[in-house]
Amino acid sequence: MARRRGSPGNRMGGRLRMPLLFAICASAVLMTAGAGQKTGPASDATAPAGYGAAIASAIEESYQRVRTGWERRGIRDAAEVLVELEGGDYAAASVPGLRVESSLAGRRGRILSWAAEEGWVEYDVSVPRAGLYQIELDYLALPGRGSSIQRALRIDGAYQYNELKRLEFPRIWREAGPPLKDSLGDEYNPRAVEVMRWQTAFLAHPDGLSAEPLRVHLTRGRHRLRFEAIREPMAIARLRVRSPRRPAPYAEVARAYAANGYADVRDAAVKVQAEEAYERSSPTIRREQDREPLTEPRAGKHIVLNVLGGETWRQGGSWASWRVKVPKSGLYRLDLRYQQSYLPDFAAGRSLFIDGELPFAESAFVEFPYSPHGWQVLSVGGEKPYKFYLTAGTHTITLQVCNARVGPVIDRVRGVAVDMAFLVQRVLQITGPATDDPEDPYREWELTKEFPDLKPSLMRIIRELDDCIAFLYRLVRRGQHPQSAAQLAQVRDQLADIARDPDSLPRRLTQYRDSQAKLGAWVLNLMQQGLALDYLALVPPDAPRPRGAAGVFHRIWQAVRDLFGSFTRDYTQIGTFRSQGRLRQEKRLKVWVAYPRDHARILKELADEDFTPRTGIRLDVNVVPSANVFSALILSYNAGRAPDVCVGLWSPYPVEFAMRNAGVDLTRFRGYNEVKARFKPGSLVPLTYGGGVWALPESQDFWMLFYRQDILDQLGLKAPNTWEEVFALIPRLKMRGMDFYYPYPTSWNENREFAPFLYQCGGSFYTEDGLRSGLNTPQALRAFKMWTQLYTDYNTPIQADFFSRFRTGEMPIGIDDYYMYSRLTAAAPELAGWWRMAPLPGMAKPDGKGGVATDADGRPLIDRSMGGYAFTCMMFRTTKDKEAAWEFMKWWTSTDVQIRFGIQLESVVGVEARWNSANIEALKGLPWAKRDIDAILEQWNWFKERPVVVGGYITQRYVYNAWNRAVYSVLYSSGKGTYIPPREALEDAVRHIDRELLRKRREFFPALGTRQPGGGE
Amino acid sequence: MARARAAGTSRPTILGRLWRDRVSYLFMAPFLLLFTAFTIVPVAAAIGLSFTHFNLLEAPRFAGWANFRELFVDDDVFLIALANTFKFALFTGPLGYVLAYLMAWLISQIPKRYRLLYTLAFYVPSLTSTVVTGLLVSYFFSGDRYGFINNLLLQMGLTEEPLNFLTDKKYMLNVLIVVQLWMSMCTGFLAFIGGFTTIPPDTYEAGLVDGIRHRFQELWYITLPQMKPQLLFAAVLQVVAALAVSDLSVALFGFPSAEYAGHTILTHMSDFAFTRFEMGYAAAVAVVLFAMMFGLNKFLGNVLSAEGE
Repeated sequence: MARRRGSPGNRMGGRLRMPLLFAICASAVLMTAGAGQKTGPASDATAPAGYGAAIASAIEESYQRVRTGWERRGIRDAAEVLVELEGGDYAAASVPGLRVESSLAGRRGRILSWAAEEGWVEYDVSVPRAGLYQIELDYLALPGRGSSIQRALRIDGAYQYNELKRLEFPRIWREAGPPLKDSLGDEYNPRAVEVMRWQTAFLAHPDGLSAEPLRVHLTRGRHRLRFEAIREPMAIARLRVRSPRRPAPYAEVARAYAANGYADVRDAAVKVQAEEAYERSSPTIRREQDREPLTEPRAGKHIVLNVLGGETWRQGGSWASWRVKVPKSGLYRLDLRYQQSYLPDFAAGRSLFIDGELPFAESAFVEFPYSPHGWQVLSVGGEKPYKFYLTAGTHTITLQVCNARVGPVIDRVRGVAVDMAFLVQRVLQITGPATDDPEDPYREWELTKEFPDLKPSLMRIIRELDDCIAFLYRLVRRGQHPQSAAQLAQVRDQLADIARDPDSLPRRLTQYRDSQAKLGAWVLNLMQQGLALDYLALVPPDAPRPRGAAGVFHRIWQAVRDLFGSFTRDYTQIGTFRSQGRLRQEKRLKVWVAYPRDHARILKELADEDFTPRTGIRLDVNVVPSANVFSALILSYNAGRAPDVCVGLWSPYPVEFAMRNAGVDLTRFRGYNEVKARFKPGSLVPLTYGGGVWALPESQDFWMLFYRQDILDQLGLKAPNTWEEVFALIPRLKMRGMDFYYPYPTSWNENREFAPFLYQCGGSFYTEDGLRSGLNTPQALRAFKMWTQLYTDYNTPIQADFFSRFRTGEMPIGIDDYYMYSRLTAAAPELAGWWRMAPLPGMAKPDGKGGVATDADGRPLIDRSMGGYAFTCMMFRTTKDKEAAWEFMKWWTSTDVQIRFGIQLESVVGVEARWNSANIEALKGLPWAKRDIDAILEQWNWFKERPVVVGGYITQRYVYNAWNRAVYSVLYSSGKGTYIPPREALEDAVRHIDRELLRKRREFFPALGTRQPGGGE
Repeated sequence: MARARAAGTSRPTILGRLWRDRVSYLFMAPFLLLFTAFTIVPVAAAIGLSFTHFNLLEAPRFAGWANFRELFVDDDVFLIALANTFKFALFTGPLGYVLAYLMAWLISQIPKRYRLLYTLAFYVPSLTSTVVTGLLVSYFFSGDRYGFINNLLLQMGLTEEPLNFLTDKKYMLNVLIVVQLWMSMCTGFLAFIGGFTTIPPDTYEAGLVDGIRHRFQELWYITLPQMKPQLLFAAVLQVVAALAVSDLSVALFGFPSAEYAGHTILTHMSDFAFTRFEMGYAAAVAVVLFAMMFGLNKFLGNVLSAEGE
């Protein structure tokens, strides 16, 4: 603590510290692999020979560090330079997908239209003097898949710092119309449409960690700027390399006000409701409802969307803008009513632009302090509010997420995570990867002998963390304890504990790595600064400040009214969106939707638009929470109040109804065969029972392999194609302190974790007739052994937060739902372009003659079979108008409706809600990148669902138990006697499963020995 | 008055007496109706259902003793559940009871001003829902090094790597017992606190005169015998709580728990009711549980009332 000020890296020589200097970059452990080889501008040392030398690729520092280096070397902003180029005047380019247009979207000139999501383009720029420059682009977002555009920039062949690898260029979205209102009076977010408009933007920090645009360093003379595509197409009209812009500070601007004779306005004011935002950078920044009594417009009995943003408005660089009609020219104060209860302790930051310009330097960073209690009113500028000069007429106010305040500490904590990863890598080079051998828990290491600076290195990390903690304390009011500092302190204390006895580190690697992961998560958390806005008001500077939150009694009164309001209306119901007039023959269908409200609303809207007019069938839609839809169905069925159709039902459920004679066999309806052809045959297997099909799949989820291309490249590894390759890969990851991820089994989720091994080994869960367990075969045992080996021999972590660890790079490869795809696309923009989705690893298929089967091209055929699950829709025996229900199910699963549903959903909720339609054609119709849809379709070919048999639930339970016994008896054994071999565990499970299957069959078919109808594959 | 008139007439018939005392039924009605609707009918229905096969969606089918036969003869998991429940009840029942009593006694020694505060502090755990407690406790027993217990163990050097309290069979039931002890300490606790205040101070004075020398003698010879009704009440609560544990197990270990290590009679019942849809069988489990509780309560009643005489 004593050395708080002097400790940051620059003065630390040290073998360890030094490579670190240039090893700090966005994803923390990206560089565990490479001890940087390339000497960054800020470092004048070289890495010790032989250490990390195997990896040649360079890792760039963070912008923050590079700038510090420039400052130290006395490199200043270049003054008064502006070099301008037309987009089409490039020096070189990769040809496919690039074209030069003479006019595009209302603009003329030599415009570069870059429609491909790959390739590069190079510009030659010469500058008259050396110094720092900013780069500005006039760009147009070309129609793509709705995500923001990303490009990377190399200058003279190198990335000057890491952030240049993922520059973001947002698209522009506008609401397609006013909010929708259903017949009950509830509001819904309208669809978002993209605006094709040219934008001018500086290259900015992709996480918003810097309030100013990024600077680059150019020496005098010619330079080659190379833009590389990462995702989404764009057009570039102009490129400007210019001296950094320096907006005047407020004091200067205020003096200018006086000099120009601008006066405060007296009795003019204007207020804009924040939810009426004119444009925004992403459809996820949208209207939300708030029931605080002072929120405008006030929420009555109905759902009113009266605020904007909230937790969804937090990604660095994302923005929203409002159009304000100013009544009179003069000086105004800007009041904002906001809620910031998302990120404890700190203020959320936003940059404020008026008509696209910063009015003065301070507006680049406006802070919205945290308050756990809810709404507040902020006058921009705080106690002595700033005055804004506005002329009469329409102006645009823009707020953009900016995290500049916590930027430095985020950077340093990332650095610490890198240090830690680095340290562990060195330790593992001494000890080998298997340090926590359960057979030998008391092995002692004499690490310090081989690694004498281990303790000093740990101490340095601890001091760095101390500095970060002190920094955080300075950000909050005196006497307060920031929560985020506590998390750092936890890590620090743990390290201090290890530093007391450095030789114990090999035994404590698991906790050490947990801490490391924690730092990664910490950074991600601190960068996301949500903010909800109620209104923006331009008022006379001396106007009284309005109240932020209602008084206690007011709030209680509101709560009481809400309570009574809830008795008189059904909040689960979705009203009608267009009046249908009188239909010739009125038919009604009661539909339950077990999806979120937005899904239900879009379904209802599509039906009102298309289904009802064509068929004369009206839908009454209710939203049911998906967690208890099953029990709700059972109870309502008993009470005779079941819906006619239920949408969004988990795939094992329909057969449960069918077995008990409560379902309807769909095969007997007209047109069933055409409907069937919409899906992969495998997806109907779990919905088949007793020769009938009892539900139709809507959406499907299955596993894919996700990996970090950048990290694997650096390690010189390839994405594995087979399990053998996975098993070969794991030790190599372990050597660098990284892990492979495989989902953790539970006793209630259908053994999805076991299915890939089982199917690929040629086993199946049940015997052909579905009467007995199929797990007592050699194939099943082999599969089971492989599965448990993953944990017992290869030490794969049993539980982990794959998404975060994937982002930090600690788990650069793993298997997960393909929902992960949406999450990575939407919530991990910093990884765009650096990760891939591939089909699952498989096993070479034997050709039956002792060799390996090959496909048409002569490559070995890899069996990638796996299970998955689906959401389905079904009707019930009690459904009165079964033909109408069938009409609806046919309509709902049709290609056209599924595509429209998926696209609308994405435009309302964002890419995160990618609809994984079970309809093959519909899935292809959604905006996938070609590479990804190819991977999905390849994997889909291997989709193999497990048949449902009477008593099937018992299988998952005992397979889990067997896994649990086999794995835990090794990992947590206290002695040798407790070891349970996989064979024994599995055989035991089979015994129990068979028993239960028999028992259950007796219940359904009292005359024992009767073949169970169907159920087999 | 009514009595006086009744004495005058000749022996009334049963019907006559029923009619004569008709006003008293009105007074009994609220309780009687509720008790019938929410206790007698469900219990009767459960007993009835336990002799059927009933899958919730179709009409029940009569099964005779089949469910019970299977339960006692064929169901291995029921034996696990039974063993778990008994082991669990054995610890939490008596131990929780004694602890609750001691706590209540200790608190009643505290000056009145602070007593309320302590009472509240001890009673709060039973007010919070099991799900919340489960969440809270899973922080304590979390399997990584940030779990409080693991952290403590690591710091004291008792273990090198964190222990998996919530998924490792070795620890699960013990964890359940500890948590339930903490939670159930307060079930009888409030009754005891109430009991202490009902004892008139002059009994103690009389005891003093009769030669009581210290607080424990006071406790043993005066307080305990005076508190019989509260003791019985608390015992009943304790037994019910100990035998009926299930939410906590589900909240801590999930359902079904790893290798049934946290399986109890009640989770066994809900397993059959809601995953297997064998309501008849589940009802049979419930009936057995009911019989167990009933018997235990009778037994406790006898023990406690015999001792006081």
